[in-house]
Amino acid sequence: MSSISYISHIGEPFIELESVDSTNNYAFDMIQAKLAAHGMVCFAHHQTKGKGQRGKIWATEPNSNITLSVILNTSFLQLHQQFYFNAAMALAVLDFFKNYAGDATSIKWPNDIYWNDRKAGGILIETKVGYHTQAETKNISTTNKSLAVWNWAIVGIGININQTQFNAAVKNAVSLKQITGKEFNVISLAKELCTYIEKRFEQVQKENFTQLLESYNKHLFKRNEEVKLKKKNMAFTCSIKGVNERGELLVDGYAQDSFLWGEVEWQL
Amino acid sequence: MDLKQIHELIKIINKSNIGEISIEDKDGKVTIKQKEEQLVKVAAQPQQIYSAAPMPVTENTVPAATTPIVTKAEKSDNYITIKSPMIGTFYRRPSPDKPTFVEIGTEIQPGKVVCIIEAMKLFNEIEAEIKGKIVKILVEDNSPVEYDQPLFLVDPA
Repeated sequence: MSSISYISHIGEPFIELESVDSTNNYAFDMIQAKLAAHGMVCFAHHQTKGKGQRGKIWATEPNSNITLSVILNTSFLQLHQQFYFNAAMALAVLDFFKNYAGDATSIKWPNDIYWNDRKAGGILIETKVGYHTQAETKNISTTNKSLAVWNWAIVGIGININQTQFNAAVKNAVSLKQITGKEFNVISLAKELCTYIEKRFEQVQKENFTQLLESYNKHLFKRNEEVKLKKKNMAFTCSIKGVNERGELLVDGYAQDSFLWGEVEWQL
Repeated sequence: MDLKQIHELIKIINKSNIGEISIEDKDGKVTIKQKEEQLVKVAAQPQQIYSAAPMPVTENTVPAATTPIVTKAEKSDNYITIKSPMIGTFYRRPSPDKPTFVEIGTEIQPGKVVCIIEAMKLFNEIEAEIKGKIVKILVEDNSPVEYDQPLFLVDPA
């Protein structure tokens, strides 16, 4: 099945797993087995080896949090438009969390969800980048340049919901229960999150890129504030101006005025 | 080389630990030297080194694709270059504790994942579009890459 329709809603089907190593790996396997469909969600009550960045582990207490992966068809997007997609996913999680936790919710560049100075959620997106086949390429372009396309995005989302005890190594985590004092049903919250993802994904489909970037910047953590960043071994202070369409962090008051992710680290 | 290419090259050199580079083609020779203080600054941040691949600056070696902008060398043999479809960080492994996707000698075919390029915490698994055998890996694991930068040389035979 190579042509994908977008009739299906995000969160259908909703696969609920008792325990899995990583929902992103599970989603990857679904794609590999050609069982994936746009909008499919894999939710785990217990993720045993949740993926953080490059070998970092997203460790959470079982049965307390949202840990899920959404499979989205992104073949209509160009590779250079990736950041808009990234921003849209961060905004979807922000919209959801803000609805319960209020205006102290923000997006920490590039895509963590913060409540005040504490981390409430994280996103890890993995994609498959392939190429148009020769036959397809002929119809599209006469140049001999190969056309890279990203067919799928797997959006892994982790949000702290009912957990109140965090590992001592995690310095600044916060959960929705700690903020509101209430206990939540994680499945119904996860399904609600899907509706927010759908809304933001629609903006990507409609190419409302300017609007997405504006919203992203509006909710950017520490915007117009002094922060400490670290570039390799050197820490410095600057003020955050915003993020541009390529996802670069724009700052004031330092010798360099824009940074790629990976070039600098936060010093909080 | 036109001005634009030279400009691009300067930008790349600026970010790197390369002190001096010369590139010669039919139109002439361009030498770019980096100011020493700039170099020291970069050298003090070892992980940022652009590419630790051997620098092909000596006269008698073919400037293979270890320099970012070389297309001629690729034409002189039959190897096909796999280039980076985006700016980002190049990874040879799915995660630091896992084996590499490919090594020299690995047979690849369309759809085979050859590397990951991360851009803004978004991890792109890059699939090969051709069939062949990896003969050279042109970029160090965990280093920044530019758009269109050669990553692998493939013998299509």
